Amino acid sequence: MTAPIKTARPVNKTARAAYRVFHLLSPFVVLAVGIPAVLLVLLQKGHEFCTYTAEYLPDLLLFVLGGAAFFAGHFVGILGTGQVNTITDASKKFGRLAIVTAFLVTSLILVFEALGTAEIAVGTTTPSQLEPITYYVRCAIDHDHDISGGLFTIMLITLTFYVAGNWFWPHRTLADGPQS
Amino acid sequence: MTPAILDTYSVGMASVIWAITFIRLFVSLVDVVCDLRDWPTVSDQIGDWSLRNPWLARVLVGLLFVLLAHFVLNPLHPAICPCLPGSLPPDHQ
Repeated sequence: MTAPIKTARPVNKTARAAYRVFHLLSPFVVLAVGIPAVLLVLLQKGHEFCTYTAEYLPDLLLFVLGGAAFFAGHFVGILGTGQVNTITDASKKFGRLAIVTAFLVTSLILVFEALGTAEIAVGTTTPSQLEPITYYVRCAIDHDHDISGGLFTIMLITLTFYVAGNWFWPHRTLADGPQS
Repeated sequence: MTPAILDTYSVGMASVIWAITFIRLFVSLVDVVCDLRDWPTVSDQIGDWSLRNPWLARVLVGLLFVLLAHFVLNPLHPAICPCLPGSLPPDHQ
């Protein structure tokens, strides 16, 4: 079964090409950022403890930035390529799989939070234990202020809430009605 | 709380970054497949889900902002901060 959805606007070929290049490069960008970030954290010495030598939080501007990025993510949806997608049975299954996996991974993160809150030991030979995600995030914000002045914190909050605004408040309507 | 108990920053933060990297890698790979096949991308799929389930989407967005507020609108130092060996006040040691 094939059905056109979305918009009847003509396709902007330049925007469409840029969109495709962005998609093809994005997995490499994710790996290029994620792998070095993990290695840096694991190899880093001197930040084992959250000593909080300065009081960087609370920071209302970071919260306002998240709100602004959320609205930006919504209104950037005005800029579309005009591409008409096709919906097939396979694409429906694929889409469901993507959404289920996204929520499953989110659930796993919350399980990590639960383990941290429950103060689960990391190893059997040491008294070290996992902490709630909040602990690591706030610790990371503190370290980021020391290292870059909070640049990475700003980037992460902007990106996260831009995506949230784009995904959960899309600037369009369901052109062909609800789908299963 | 002893310093040894707090000594999990590296493994904990690495786990958080791995989780975020995995999610973004998964989404970007799915987007590549969808783009090449002219299928709706993950953004399209989740956007459609949000339009079909507006209240769930609102709750999810609300949860995100609550988390952000929790992270950035609380002071770093709690009322009692056992951050360094010997930093506890005498009545808490």
